[in-house]
Amino acid sequence: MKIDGKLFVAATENEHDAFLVSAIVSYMQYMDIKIVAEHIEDECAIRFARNIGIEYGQGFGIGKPVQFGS
Amino acid sequence: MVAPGNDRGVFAGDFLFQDVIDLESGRVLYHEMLTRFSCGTNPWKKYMRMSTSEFLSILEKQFDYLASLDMGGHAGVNVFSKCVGDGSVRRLLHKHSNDSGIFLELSEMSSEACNSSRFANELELLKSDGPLSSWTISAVGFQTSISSHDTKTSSIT
Repeated sequence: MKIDGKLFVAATENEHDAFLVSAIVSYMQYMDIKIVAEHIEDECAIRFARNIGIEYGQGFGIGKPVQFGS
Repeated sequence: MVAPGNDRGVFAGDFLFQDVIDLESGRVLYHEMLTRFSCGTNPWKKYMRMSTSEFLSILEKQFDYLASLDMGGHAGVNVFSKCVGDGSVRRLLHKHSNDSGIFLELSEMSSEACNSSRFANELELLKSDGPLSSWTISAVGFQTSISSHDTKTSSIT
């Protein structure tokens, strides 16, 4: 499952959304569903994602969109 | 390996790919094909003017590299919804899906697309019929027969 980028960024910025995303992650782990977080922009976001149990990520901090072969 | 341009000015470079990685190991899981305006290109007006078969033939050239198709944004969703109903999208995904399936992401759906029963039926068929490993809808106010997935981000696997 993908965590929407806006929601993920909000989770890195305030406790309420952090709690919400953590709860989603916990439930998905219980369901054995893998999670991808969007909008991972920097090392802090990567650490945050890993700390709450998100395994996979996507964002400019990891790799910008490129043309194939670039 | 890049699909060549054609006389309608369509190039593989119109399609952008972004890695999804394992945050622990840094391993690239797959490349996602993006169709969003926000990626710095705006090629979609010309695709909207194409016939369904033309558009699908363009998509098909990209499928060798594709595990995830992000049809987020109004343009992508509208292009996708334009191609449903005759089963052509379903046949395309079947042809190119592998063991891990294809991840289809539909975000920021327009109310017009959401309210299309054809669109909702096609999603249900894609889900039940096999080629998708999962699909995600990221939208608020999703109003169709699949409204049980009405959250900011929801997914069927």
